[in-house]
Amino acid sequence: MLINRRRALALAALASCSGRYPGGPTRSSNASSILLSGSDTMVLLARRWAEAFARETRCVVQVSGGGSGTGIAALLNGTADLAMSSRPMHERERRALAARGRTAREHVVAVDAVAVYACADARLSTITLAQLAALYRGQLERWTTLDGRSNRVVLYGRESSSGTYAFFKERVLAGRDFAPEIQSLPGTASVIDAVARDQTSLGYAGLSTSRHVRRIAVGATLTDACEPQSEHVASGRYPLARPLFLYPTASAPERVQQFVAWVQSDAGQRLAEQEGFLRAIARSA
Amino acid sequence: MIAGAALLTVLLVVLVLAFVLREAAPLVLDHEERRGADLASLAVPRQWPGYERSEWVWQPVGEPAKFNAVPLLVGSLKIAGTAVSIATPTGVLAALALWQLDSRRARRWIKPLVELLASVPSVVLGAWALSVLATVVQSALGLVWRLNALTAAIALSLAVAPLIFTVTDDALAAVPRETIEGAVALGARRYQVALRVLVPAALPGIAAAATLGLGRAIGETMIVLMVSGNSPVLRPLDPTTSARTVTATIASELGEVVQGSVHWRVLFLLGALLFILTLVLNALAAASTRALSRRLRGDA
Repeated sequence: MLINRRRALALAALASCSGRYPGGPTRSSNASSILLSGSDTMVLLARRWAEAFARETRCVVQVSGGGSGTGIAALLNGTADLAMSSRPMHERERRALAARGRTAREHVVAVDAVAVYACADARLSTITLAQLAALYRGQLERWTTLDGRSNRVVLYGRESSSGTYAFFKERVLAGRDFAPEIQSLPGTASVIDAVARDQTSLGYAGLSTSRHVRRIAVGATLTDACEPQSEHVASGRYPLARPLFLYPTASAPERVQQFVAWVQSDAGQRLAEQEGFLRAIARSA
Repeated sequence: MIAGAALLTVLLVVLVLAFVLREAAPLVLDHEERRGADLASLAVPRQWPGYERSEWVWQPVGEPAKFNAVPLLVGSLKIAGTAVSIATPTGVLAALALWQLDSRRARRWIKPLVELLASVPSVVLGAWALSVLATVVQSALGLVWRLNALTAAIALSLAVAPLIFTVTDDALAAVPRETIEGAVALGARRYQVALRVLVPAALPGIAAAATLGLGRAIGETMIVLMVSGNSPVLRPLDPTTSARTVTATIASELGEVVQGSVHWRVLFLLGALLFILTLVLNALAAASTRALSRRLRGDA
């Protein structure tokens, strides 16, 4: 549970981007391989895609992390064929690319979402981002303004080693610190389990379909609030979600286009779901 | 052969300590590294940007990263201290009860059974405490936090009590027969012998048992990681709040940390601290045991 496969792979990814791993990001002359670099959030998913793609086409995709900015820089410098990014490309980066006579195509390939949970029979159904920030910053301690009870709000979240923690900290707390009282648990399932057993608690974690908890609708205002369902996530209405992108250049070789198309196919999207992300492309009937 | 095995064990311990210290050392020795996390801010409260006053903060991911180990040490000591203060009376009373029973047949069964409890994997104890004990304790005492230091300490005491029981039982067995028979001859009842003769005579052994138990409790990881809630709050005297221990911090953070980063080195420094603390506790326990044997030989 603690040092699981995911974590071991992440470690391997770290090793690879610090250059100790022989298959690091160097421009290879091997015509049948693709160099993919960028977002650490996407590294594990990209490796799963690469494995499956290599099984089908015998085309090797070399994946390295380092962050979205690193990946886009690699695309600029020509040291990667494909960049993966958890944010859209900046205008500045597009201009730099254009100055080199190239353009990048943007493909949304998966969606990363964080949900807020309460126990199944909670009265609370919606919450604003400002209320969430006040709770997790320790400025709001009781349920009074949320559902009228005077109990203290017990808050659960993920360990600081988790990408979910970093995303929540950046998106909800604007990079400021969590209050020390926030309890951190080692996985999405642990957070769900803890929230399900405690009527005075709220927790944030990755997506889950558990019936023992209730997903709280989140929005900038209470009227905007919505649950993290595919349509709200896809339309950008749900605030705690972000699309994940692949950026090939317009002039990228055929095999790169093939890989992107495969990622967007049903098989690629199913892998994304297995890794805890949402589909970017609806299931084909 | 035996000497070789013992030497190998010692060598391994030394090597582990050397490795841990080597990873932590640049934090203390290297000027470049020291700018990343000055040693003082590991222990002294600081007023960070955005904070209203000086505080002890453990928030290793963020800008700037804050590595103050005080909340973690407080958490470790709070949970281990509570666990030992539950497990010591339990373990000692159990050993006395077994002595009182004075039946060789019962002893042959009971002692291995109690020791079996010590071999329950801590992840199993943790899972049980997480799903059952936490709910029971919370509703019985009306606690705000379902996962808290007290629940973790109760679960931990189940792992520690058998150790304290065994060591205490050995200490009681070491009290010479003549001393006990002398007391009986003077007309003392069995419980009087136990409380007035046996316990005082074996006291250094009981102290050793408690000290070993404390070392085991501080080093335990899985139970506290699962049950304590892991929040780095600084409430040394309130066992009903959540707590984050040094061991749980190392276990949950080391896997994702960049090798050689300041965070990595701080975690190894904490590991070295734990190692040294446990060594000191074991040395204290050994000293108590020596005191026991001196006393029982009548030198003291």
